[in-house]
Amino acid sequence: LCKVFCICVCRASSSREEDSAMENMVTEKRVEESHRQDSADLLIFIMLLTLTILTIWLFKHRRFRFLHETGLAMIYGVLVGVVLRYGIHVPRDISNVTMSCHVNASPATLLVNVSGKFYEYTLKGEIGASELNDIQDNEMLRKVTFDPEVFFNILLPPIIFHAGYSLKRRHFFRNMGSILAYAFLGTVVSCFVIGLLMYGCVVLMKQVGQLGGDFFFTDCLFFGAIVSATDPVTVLAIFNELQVDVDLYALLFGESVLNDAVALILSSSIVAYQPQGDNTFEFVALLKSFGMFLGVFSGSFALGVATGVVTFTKLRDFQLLETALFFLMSWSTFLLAEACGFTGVVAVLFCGITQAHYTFNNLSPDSQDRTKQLFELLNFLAENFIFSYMGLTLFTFQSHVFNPMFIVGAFVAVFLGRAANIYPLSFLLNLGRRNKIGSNFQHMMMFAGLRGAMTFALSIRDTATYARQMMFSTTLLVVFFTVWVCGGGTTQMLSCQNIRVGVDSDQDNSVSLAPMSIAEGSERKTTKQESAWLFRIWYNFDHNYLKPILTHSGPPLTATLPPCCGPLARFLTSSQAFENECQLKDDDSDLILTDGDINLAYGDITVSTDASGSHTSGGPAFAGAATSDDLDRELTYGDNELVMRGTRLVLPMDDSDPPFTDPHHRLRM
Amino acid sequence: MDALRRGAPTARWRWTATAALKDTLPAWLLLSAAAGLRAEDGTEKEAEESHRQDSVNLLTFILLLTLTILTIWLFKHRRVRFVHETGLAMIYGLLVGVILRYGIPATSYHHKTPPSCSLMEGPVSTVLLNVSGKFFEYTLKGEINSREIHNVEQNDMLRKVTFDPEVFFNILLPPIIFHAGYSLKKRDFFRNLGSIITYAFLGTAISCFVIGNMMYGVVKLMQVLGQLTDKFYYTDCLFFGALISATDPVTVLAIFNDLDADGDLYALLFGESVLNDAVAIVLSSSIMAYQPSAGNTHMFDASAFFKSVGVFVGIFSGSFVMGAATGVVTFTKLHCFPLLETALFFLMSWSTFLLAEACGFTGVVSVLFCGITQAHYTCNNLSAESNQRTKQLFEVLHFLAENFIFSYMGLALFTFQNHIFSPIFIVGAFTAIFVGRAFNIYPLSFLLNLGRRHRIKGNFQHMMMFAGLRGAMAFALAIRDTATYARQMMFTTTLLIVFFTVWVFGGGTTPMLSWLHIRGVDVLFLVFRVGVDPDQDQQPCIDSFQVLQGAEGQSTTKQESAWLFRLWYSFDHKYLMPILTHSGPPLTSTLPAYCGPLASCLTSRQAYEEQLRDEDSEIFRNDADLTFTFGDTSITSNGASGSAAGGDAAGGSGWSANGKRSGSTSEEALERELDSREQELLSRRTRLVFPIEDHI
Repeated sequence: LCKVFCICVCRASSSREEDSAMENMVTEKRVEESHRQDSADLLIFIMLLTLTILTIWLFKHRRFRFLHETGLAMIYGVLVGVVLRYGIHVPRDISNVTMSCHVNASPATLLVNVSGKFYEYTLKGEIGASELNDIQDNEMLRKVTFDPEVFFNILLPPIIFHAGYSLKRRHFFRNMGSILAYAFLGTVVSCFVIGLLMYGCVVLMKQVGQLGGDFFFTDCLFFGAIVSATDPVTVLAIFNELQVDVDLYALLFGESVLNDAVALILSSSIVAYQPQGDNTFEFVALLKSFGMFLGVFSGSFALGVATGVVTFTKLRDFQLLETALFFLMSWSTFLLAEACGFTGVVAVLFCGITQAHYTFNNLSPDSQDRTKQLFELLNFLAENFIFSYMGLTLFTFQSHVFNPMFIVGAFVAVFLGRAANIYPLSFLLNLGRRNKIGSNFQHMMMFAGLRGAMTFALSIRDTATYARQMMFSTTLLVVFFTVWVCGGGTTQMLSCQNIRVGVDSDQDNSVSLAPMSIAEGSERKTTKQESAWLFRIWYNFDHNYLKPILTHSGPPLTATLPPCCGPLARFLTSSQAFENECQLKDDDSDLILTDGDINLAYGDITVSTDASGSHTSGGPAFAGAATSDDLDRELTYGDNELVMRGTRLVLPMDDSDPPFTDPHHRLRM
Repeated sequence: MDALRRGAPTARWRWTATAALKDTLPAWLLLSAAAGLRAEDGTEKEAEESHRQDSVNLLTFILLLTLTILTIWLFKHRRVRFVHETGLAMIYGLLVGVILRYGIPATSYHHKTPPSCSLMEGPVSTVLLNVSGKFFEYTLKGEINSREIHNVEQNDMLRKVTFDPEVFFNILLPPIIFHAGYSLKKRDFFRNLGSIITYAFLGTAISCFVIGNMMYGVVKLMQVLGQLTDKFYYTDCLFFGALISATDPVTVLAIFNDLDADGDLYALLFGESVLNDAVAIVLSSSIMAYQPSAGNTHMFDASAFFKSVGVFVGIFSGSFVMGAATGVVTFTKLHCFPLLETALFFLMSWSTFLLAEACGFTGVVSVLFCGITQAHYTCNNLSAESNQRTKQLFEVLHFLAENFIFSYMGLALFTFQNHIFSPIFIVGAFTAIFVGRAFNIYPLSFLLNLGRRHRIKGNFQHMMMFAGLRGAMAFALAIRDTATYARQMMFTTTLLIVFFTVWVFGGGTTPMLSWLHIRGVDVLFLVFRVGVDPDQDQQPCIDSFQVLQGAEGQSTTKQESAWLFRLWYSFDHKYLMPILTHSGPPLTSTLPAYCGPLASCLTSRQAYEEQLRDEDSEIFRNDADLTFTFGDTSITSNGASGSAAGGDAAGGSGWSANGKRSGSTSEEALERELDSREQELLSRRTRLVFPIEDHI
């Protein structure tokens, strides 16, 4: 709240009227010129994006899969960066004036009085001493460098929100345990493994004398945290196209989404870990840091979930208002979290997940489409922008510190960290999992440890010190390498690991569904024992109480609550839910969709356990489940009818009449 | 923070700076300072604090918008029509502004310790401050008036919620303007093209000069009375005239939409307001460019005047060409990937803006024309899904931006620091605006009526006069530069004018409509409208229309429409449409035979295919619309001349026009349906662009 305003009066030596008028015009012209320059710079980025889109279209048209759009955006970014760096020489008009003043602090606003005119200056940031000369070097390059906070506050939220919003619920929930294990435990393991390895590397560098500045252990840990955030967009896009196994997709996607949140908070708590002494281990500070991790995470989580739940829209008749409200609520989650001192990005992620689960059901169909499309577009633009900016910064960023040893060490550490994340955890998980994570899946997950937008945003956030600059340069190279090499090699890797690439599932449908429904019927009894009881309890609670209260779908509360709560239940249930109840019609599909999904998931697990025993029946069943979205939708519609009788009893057990359902399928398909 | 609190009061700044500047343009200024290390920690915390503060401020706006949306929903639910969402947004903004201003105690914290240094040149763009070895970078934010300097220090909070004026111009206006261009209803717009252009160009110029001159008189009066404390030149008056001439009747148009008011009136108002904005922007920037060479700034200078006119024409045509070119260039073939298509569309529209700005033209104007061109050509190339996506996207953006601007307006009334309320000026401005609007509408309507078959009636003129609301554009132009005394007075007055017009005129639209009998009396449009469910009536009205059109509509059509427009239309339909889009007749059929190879090269394969299929509807719609239109015009004149004899016919025509009205002004879905029927109706004639000898 205390802002310091500094007024610096500079008495002009010539204070005549004409002069000031002339000055005025010169200033105005310069402002205009700078505005024009800004437009041109932004235009460069827009043109880059346009170019990327056009090329991608060409690639998609030709079914060329080696290069994803993000990789392409980076290549174009690098090209433009080279041109800007070496092709354009801006005449510099710089005069170095050194004035000495005694200042106690750097105020946020500086007022400079030049011959009676006041000019306002705002603090832009601290500049490292080494950068000082670069700053004056080339203005053009500085112009195309954005404020790092832009990434964090403008570009990242839509990406993260979209990820949360489009988490495939069914597969996500089915693999929830494994995903959480990978995301939380795995990321922490990977962070510490990388941090320790890098510390060794740094110590070695010190011995050799390659280190030009301070590099503390916390810096190493920080590096471990930022580089642990995986972002396999490229791989996932290829999976989507090739219709690779859904479980693998869900594992990778879920891990990468939650990963980001964990890495973000981990890094901020590492920054907060400041021991009193210099860089020795201190237990209190560690505890404080850990407490902060928990506090920020749960705070952001609670905030995101709360906002997601609160967005209980009844504006069904006015789609525009509905969409706008949805958008604003999601954004306000971010801002609210930031204002409270939590992490906005994490809050937005959980807000997205919650909204997809509850609010989505309240929206009118039109708005559902709209919001999806809107966030899809924003995600696409933001992501490609970040990647092309990454390419650009390789050349335009002024204070790169490329240190071969550090880079090699980092590459090794990244792969070792990923391995230490995946293999031990998979082993542990396989002990408890019925549907084991095959070793080829593990290799694929290991391979798919791409780094992307989150890593970049975290590392560019603070590039003031030597250590941070070295980290930034290294991170950039890691991102480039993983996106191009690992991303480009996905197809080969898939075939090398013998991972089933989806058969055209449209044809297999009718075949696959038949054995599945039989399997479902006969194996229902085993389902109960197999699914985690915790998850089942939560699901029951969610379905019976939360859904009816928060959305229009689900059974009315009057049916699920005990009779003594009758009036309360009637009050809380929306009238629409009653309507939905009496005529299980098309609108309803949302409700049944979720149920259907879950039941299907249960059925599926049993099938696949079967499949591990006998491959012949399991294969097609998988293919039926592992497909693109459209098919999923269709499939679940079919399942709706299948499960409809079972819906009221949430986990039907004594229900064995599969033949009845088959005609419905055929009809629906 | 603690460190800072302890450190701050004791801070003694002694800048013993001695500078020697020899270069002409000093872009960098390095200030070095010695300080305790203690301060660094404080800086980081302060930055975090300020980030949090920013989040809170933005959150305020978002919550404001959310509140507006919820209230609007309630109003729409209850069918309350007196307050439009923009008016509501302003009210909420006002409330929050009051709270921010008076509810939160000012916590200012500053010290003045003027160090001295001598600079020969003007301000530098970047200052580097060296605090004990750490360099901090400062960028120039702008000049601050000497009167403002106390306010600057006074209340930090209020300054925080004040946005950079350029944000309005470069971020919020483009989506609004683009959406306006993109959603110009083509049919009604082209039918009234002549009148709209007249109102927009001639009318705005007239209104600008009338208001400018009147305001000059007011200013002179104020000078005599001694109420003027600073300079106010003639160019300032003209500038005020230009910025206040941009009308923005969103409120009125929304009500028209709700009530299905007359389509012509809607098109006239909407078209005028859209083009108006472009004219006002360019006009204001050319007035700024009008700087007489001599020292006396309020004398007429012919050469400067012509230069200014040249700037106007240059900027306008440049922006126009650029917008139209980009709109045309966006020839997407990405049919299969809606996401890519939408993204490309969005980026192209944005790059128009940036390109124009980078070339020194006006981005907003070129975005407007880009929108119009894209709606005309590119829209036909998009896949059905992207077509819808883009529309929805821009609709949402437009909605958010508009409400944001209006709620900011409400906020600015209290949080803006340098308001200058001058009663005489405000009263004068209100008078001048009405007079200016009257000079715009009535004489031009009279002139237009000489040439128009379908006259603009007296009540329409009154309604147009009444609908001269001011909105986002006037505000954005006014807030752009509030450095001088004159500009601050203008800004305050503009704000009041916007409030008044939006609340009073916007709220009074419904009573005004019924008072002017725009709904009740007009023979053609109204009698059949009241309580008619258009869905039921569709069939009969189309029938009667068909008969009518066949019998008498077509023969008179040719004479009535402007030949220039017809020429352009046939050129557009025959050559431009086939080249630029997938729709329209293939070039091979419209070009003469010897151009065969060229034509087949330029026509897309799809155009051939589509000629036969259902997806054709786009082409037909254009034709059908036009033909329909001309028929309509003739009917009207008929109805006016012999109402008794043509009782039956007029009745029929009434039904038809009525059916068409409801189609044109009611919700989109209906229109689509109606159009698709019309297509069937007219599909026989479509190939002859203006069918004349076609009697049933």
